[in-house]
Amino acid sequence: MTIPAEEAQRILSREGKGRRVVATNFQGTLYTRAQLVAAAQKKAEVGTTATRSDTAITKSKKPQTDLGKQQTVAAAGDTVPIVFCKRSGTVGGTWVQPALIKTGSNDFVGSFLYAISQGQMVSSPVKYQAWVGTQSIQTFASAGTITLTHYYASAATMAAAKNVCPISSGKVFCNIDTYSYLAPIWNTSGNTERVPDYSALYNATNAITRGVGDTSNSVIVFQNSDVDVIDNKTGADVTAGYWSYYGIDPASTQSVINVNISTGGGNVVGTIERIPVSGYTAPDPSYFTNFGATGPITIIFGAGTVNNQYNPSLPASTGTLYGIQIEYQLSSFSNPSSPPGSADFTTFADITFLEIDGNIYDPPDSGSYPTTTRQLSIFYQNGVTVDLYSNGLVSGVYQTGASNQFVDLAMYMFTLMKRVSGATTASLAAPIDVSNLQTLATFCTNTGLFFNGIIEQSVNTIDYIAKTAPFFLLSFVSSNGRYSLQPLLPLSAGNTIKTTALTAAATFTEANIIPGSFKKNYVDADERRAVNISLVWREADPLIIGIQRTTTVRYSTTDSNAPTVQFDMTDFCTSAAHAAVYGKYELARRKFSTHSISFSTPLLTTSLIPTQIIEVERQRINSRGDNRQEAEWYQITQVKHSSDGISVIEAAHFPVDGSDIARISNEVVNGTFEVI
Amino acid sequence: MSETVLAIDLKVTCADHGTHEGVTMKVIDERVVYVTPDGEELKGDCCVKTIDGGSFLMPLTVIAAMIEEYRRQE
Repeated sequence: MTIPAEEAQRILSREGKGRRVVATNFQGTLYTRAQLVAAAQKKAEVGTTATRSDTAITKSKKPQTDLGKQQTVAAAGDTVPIVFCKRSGTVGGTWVQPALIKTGSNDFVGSFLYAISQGQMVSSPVKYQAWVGTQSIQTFASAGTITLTHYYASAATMAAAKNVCPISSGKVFCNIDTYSYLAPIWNTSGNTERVPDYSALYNATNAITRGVGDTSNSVIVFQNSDVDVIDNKTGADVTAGYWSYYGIDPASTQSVINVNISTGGGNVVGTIERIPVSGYTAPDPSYFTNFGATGPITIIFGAGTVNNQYNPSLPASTGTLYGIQIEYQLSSFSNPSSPPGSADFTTFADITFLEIDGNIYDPPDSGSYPTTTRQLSIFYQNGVTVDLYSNGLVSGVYQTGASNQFVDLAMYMFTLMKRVSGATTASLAAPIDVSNLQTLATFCTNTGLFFNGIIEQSVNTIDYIAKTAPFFLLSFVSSNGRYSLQPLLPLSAGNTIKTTALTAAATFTEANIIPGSFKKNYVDADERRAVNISLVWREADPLIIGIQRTTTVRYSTTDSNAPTVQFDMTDFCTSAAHAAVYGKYELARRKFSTHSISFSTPLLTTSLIPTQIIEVERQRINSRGDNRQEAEWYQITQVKHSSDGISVIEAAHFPVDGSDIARISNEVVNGTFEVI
Repeated sequence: MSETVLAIDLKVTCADHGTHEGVTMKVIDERVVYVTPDGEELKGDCCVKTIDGGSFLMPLTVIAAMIEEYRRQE
């Protein structure tokens, strides 16, 4: 239990001097009494399934250590990520491990659909930078037949034709009730066929011969007397009704698979039989009720027998027939490629999908044909296209393209919220000041601070920008009714960290500090002790799937076993240099900024905003004859105006040296650190 | 013309209670037909009512759908 200082004082007062309050560690945690019972399990929050799915590390779109894991599958309600990156030189781009959202099978060739990003991706997918498990698709034996295709339709395009699915391959469809899949192989062990809903869906059934070597006279024979038909909904055995309705005597009939009608023998491996030969069979509303079932059924075949010389006039087969595999193609539409006008696929708008066509299934063990795949990892040099506020207005408009600038990401997030539009450049309408974005982007470029990554969870835009900005040495502030991004450290004319003399934005003295309002709070000693700063970031090398890396920054006087403070920059950072810059800033701030202040002043009419540097000069007089002028420099953290004509300023210590050069800035640029 | 054989060597009983052996069940241009070894198509008064023996070459779900289609045709 961590007790605030005020509460600790209250407890001390209440419990009197006879009780001992023990400070158990240096963080100021106080234990006032013995803990006699363990903490009960917390009650769960309500309605968190989608959130927990988003936060599950196993579903992260950022590559995890188990590259060979089974492909993650998206659940309805999962967040579509934003892939925001732009490779510049040898830095940037990002690896993505997208979730699989739909599969299909067409003539036993798999189709796999992944949600890549909200927005339109600039880069096209390439085989040599796409891996399935631990193998590049380029090196698959069937690489020549595998294709990777992006599909995207803007909201405007889809609004104009709501029933047009942006995924136009004809192999995977937007309609949730249009799908295709492979059944497990049907071999001599028997078969359990969970019959699709033929009462409601147009259907087509294909069968392929599986085996090795010559199977041209091999079939598998099953006795229909060994068949059970089960009503899925009730569990009732409707076998008798099934045979009776169709007028079939199960005791005298058999089912034979893999018969070649032309030869009277068996099909060779790879032969595909189609029913119907083309198109779909229309649904029959009475399909199941005809024989007494309430709905879809399961047909269970017992064991069968291989006959390698089904046609006695032909020589016996010399190969091995594993069995046949069924491919089901189903749809609520008679022609899935031409949905009715009532169909509405607008939920697919403004998302880039990746479709892979080709057999990337797990390799078969002998006689098995898995329908699972390993996790897809794919490298993108350039992410979604956004308005490039970082370039400023060009001929009166913002250009569009991929970006690695944090300011562009911030504006893109506001764009998604419909709060700004790059096509409407009137800045007054925007909730964020855009006047300095080009300057800040230049600063980030000069300092090597780039955003290359994935936003994979549902985040609050303001919260995300505010908490991420410091990693780019920026601060997201609210002033004068608008948001703005400001540099954490003063900038030079060339938009680098300024290491020359500062000029305070304002100077406060006893003349304009309301008496009695000045307060000074020193930073907790623990926040200033020597530490190792560990920064976690992510590699973006097109040649290897991007794994997490750490960079550690410390002063040379700091022990390697000193406490570690870690910062997670894996959302966006792809270079050790970027990580090191933030590590240096954090160490310098801890070293030099010793305290914070607050004071009141008559209402400010100047436009002081957070992050600006001010000077405070005060007379220090005490009863021991100390009488001297005290001057310190601070960085504003908050300005509050009240209706009684008072402004309250809060600021953090931002010391300068004798030449008015900011100590923190100078340390970041010129200090000596160990970077590991 | 497309033709798909669904079942062979069938022993069937027709509506007129006649029985036939060696019958083949096939789909010809989306029409389901039963054909005797001598090429006679079983339909009308001779339409097939029960299958009393033989071998199905397609999954039972397909056979069932084709029987139903044959009944609609008849």
